[in-house]
Amino acid sequence: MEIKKVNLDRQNLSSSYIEKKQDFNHVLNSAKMTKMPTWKSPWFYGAVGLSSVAIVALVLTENNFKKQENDKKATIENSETTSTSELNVQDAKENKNKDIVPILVTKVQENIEPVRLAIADEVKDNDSETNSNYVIAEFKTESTQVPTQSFVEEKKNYKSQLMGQPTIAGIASGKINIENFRNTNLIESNSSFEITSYEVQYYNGNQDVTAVIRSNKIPEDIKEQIIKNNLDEMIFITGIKGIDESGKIRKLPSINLLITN
Amino acid sequence: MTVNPMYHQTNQRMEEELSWIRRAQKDPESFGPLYKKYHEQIFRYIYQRMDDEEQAFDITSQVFMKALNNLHKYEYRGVPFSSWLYRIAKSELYQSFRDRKAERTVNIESYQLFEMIDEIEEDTSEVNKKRLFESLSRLKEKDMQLIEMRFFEKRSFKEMGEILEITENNAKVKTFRAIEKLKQLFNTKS
Repeated sequence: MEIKKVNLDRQNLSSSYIEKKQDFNHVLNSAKMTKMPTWKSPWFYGAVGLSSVAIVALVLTENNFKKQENDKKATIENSETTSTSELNVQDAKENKNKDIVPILVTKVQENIEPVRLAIADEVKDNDSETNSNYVIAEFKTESTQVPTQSFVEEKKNYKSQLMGQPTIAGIASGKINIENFRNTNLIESNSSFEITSYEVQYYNGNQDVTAVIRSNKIPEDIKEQIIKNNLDEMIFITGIKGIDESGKIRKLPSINLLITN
Repeated sequence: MTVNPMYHQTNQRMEEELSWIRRAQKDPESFGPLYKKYHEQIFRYIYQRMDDEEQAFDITSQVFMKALNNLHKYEYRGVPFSSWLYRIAKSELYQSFRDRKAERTVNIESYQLFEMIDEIEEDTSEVNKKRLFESLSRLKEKDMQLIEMRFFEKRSFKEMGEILEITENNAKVKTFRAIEKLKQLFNTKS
């Protein structure tokens, strides 16, 4: 910085003169006016910024989670629909001796590699329209790696469950002709399981009801109500329990039927 | 060299001052006693370095305004409150020079010139007085501010160190070097 001027013996100002010039109120008011408002302070910005980031992160996580759930549901629905329409009895016959057939399903979220395990059912009826195999969809959330012990055990359980898949007129999932349904009185298992109880959900004309049946038989009145009120609608037979050869009670896979004309 | 009694205070005075500060940190209106106590000192410090009286008063007000706004940041470190005010004053003053609102001016009195001639071990003649006056006008700002504080404002090295944020010894050394430079300028002229 350059010194612009040097004054010699400039007139001195007296202390009383300087004191007269004091104006504390002016300083106080100016200070109040120039004080940084709260919304401009770094604290405010820090708090607001952090909260915003937290909210955005929360929303993103929730959306991601919902998307994942929806994708999972959509994939399961897709696999169920395609399984009944695409796989016919011929496929079932071909696949009969195979344990597990992995089929890739395309509509899935990234990082989720779906594997569908399908096994052929024993064909009881020769009507290719009404007979179907069944499919259980399983989704692995990680890329395929060397199977672990638990995975192998799980696979065995599936296998045993699949072996005991109950059917009505040989159909476990999908469309069933109304006449076929009417003429069938029993829920049967494809292996040595004896069905002991099950639950059936249907519309009785007034409301949706769930009937618990302790038998492998389908009561006539229920059958008639189903035929009367649930045509072209899905019927769910769940909670199916059966006794195996060793006398153990096992929970068996459900039956989903669409009764058509 | 005289000692500035307003700067060098007893412990009792320092404690009293600290209690004012604490009160003012909670309630700005309690800043009044501190303003009254230091207004003249700060004004004289500013006016010593510039020419315009009104501007000097304005900058003084700015200094106290800033002090009031930043009082919550003030921490007592065993030195008088005025050293903190001086630092704000220095910053405001140099800002006004940078903004070209004011011009850097050095104000000297004749008797101070004679004292300085003594310091550089020359004869106190009118000719030397004129030569010294010219040498001072050619001195660089950083040396000028040390000479100004030490010889025109009669500040102790301790006080200088606290205002300039350097140690007392460093203030001593820097002032000695500034005097040497002034001597060189004085002798070059002759």
